[in-house]
Amino acid sequence: MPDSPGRSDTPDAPAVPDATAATGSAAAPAASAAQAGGPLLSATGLRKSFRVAGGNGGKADLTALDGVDLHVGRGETLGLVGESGCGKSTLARVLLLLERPDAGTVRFEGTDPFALRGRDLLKWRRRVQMVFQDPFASLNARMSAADIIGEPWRTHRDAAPADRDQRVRELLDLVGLRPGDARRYPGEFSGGQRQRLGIARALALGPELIVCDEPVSALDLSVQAQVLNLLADLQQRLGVSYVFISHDLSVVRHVADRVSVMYLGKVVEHGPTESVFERPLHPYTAALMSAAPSLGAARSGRRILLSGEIPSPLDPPSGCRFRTRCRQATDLCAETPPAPAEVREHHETLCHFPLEGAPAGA
Amino acid sequence: MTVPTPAAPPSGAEPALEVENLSVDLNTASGTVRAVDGISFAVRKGVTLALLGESGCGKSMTALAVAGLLDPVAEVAEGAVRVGGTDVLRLGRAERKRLAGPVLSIVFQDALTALNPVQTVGAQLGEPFRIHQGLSRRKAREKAVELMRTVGIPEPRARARSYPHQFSGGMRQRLLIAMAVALGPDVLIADEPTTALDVTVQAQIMQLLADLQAEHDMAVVLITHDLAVVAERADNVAVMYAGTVVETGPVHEVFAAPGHPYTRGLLDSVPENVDRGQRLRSVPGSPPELTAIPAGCVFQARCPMARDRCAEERPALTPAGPSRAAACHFSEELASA
Repeated sequence: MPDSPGRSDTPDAPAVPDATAATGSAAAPAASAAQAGGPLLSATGLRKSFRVAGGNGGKADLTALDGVDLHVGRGETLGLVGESGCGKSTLARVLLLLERPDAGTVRFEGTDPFALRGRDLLKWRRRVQMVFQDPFASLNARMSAADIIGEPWRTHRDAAPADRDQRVRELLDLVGLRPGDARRYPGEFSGGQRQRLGIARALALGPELIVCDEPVSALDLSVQAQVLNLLADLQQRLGVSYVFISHDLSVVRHVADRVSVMYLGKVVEHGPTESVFERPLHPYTAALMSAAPSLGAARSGRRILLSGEIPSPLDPPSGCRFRTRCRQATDLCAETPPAPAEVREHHETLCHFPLEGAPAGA
Repeated sequence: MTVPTPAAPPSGAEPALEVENLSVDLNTASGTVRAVDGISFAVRKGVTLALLGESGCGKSMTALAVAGLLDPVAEVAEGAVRVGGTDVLRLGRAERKRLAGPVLSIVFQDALTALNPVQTVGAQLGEPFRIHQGLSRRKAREKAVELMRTVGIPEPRARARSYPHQFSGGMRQRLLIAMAVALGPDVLIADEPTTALDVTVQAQIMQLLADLQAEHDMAVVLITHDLAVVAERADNVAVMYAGTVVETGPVHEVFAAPGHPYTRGLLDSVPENVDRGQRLRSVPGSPPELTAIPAGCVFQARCPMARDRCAEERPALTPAGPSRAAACHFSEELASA
């Protein structure tokens, strides 16, 4: 079955008419990426632990987030990078209000969404939506595309458009599917088409922020590019912000305006994408970039091969979390956790000995 | 049928593995479909050939066919798989079993399902030695501990008593690799060996494979969807699409100047090659269903260069230069574009 091309070459496709109206906030249409102004979303000092079954039949505290700060501007993409168990998915769940942090604050346009109740909370939820990793598991196989896209309106009744069918067709068009696809079921779509469907569902309530949790990692390369182009188009046209979670550095480098690198529940480096990728400050970031295979194959051969794996978050190392795998760790690193330091403009790191000036992979 | 073998040995050495005109039929609810359609490739000792392709292109089916592990639902329809000159498809079950391990072995993608959850890893790693060398339980365990040390598992003696779920993903993959190289095979098939792993661990595993390959002078067939892994780790590449090989050759030559529009499209889809904020050049559409492979060229529906001839005539894998081949009517045009 043919997939529609990613670009929206339909002349003046309907630009989400009543979507933003429902939220009462004027999301800037066609906002250019990464403009200044107060952040749409900011989080400070987020902590989250889970009680889990520990060794020897006891209970232990797993610290998934250990003092995480972040902010996302309007129309901007924040890339969130880290290996499994670093806390990036827990962070996503906190931003979506699916987990309440043990400590720390979340501000969405200055207000605390965790303080909202009832209808106010429901209204807030329209503003932040999610696109999931697995386009097979995240769509109900027994619902038609129209039902899937329209399901958010069953919960958020006053956000439902007057003409649902018309709106479904507009959303399908927006994500590069055909109007006739409304009656089809997930099983009739390819992986890439399903992810488009998941994106259309996330757009149904006219969100200002979409949390994308590994949105292309289940897709084949040739299809992945289509979906990345679609996400970029939608940001251009709708001014929506993304928190883009991925383990794939080349994808994050392509889509993100700023990047946060996470390791064992902490953001160890944060900064503008170019600065982070060209001149990483944290040894972990440098190792991560060095480890990622690259098409530019003529590598100098000086790959930084980290020894060992991420320590268990049940028993994280004292001091700096990364010190057990870090070649330049000293006694200081074992004793004192490093404090965030802005080494270059807007570019912070959590390291006693930042790699100032060292190019990636050196 | 004469087919150009990628990496034709300049020395004239016989390839360790030679696959010729292999086809695999898959029995599905809706009838028999051809999952692999007449593919050929060869690998010499010490050389890595990557089978590169997206999901459903037939690369894993090929691996299973070569290893003799096709499900009851699939079978080899035709072709030859020569290991050290012997066509293993003509061998009986018992003879094939004797080759599995000492001559040819396979590393699977998903280490958790490939290991037996209710047996200690020491016992599992000792199994090849017990079966093929008739070692005692105790001696086999010694060998297992040695192997675990070779592949970098800390405290191997103690860890040999652990079960697979007590290891991390990276360590489990090391165990699988240990088991595959236990008997020093000539040919190792690695089916997406690092796909489920984090990048820092992935780098460790690929390095381990490279070290073991050098040590045992193995021919490696690396099955992957990751172009960057191919660029870094393989000598030669066979690009697969819809059950066929559409292009073969030395990796650096193929990636520098692809001879098939699909290879070109894959390379263009890599975000690494495009500046931030710029559109990625994607391949429109998605691969054909196996039940609906078109007559003519398999890639025609997604090809920017497709013409009438492509709908009528299936292009053969045609040599282009000493070590390259592509299955495209307009290969030369692409090269000059």
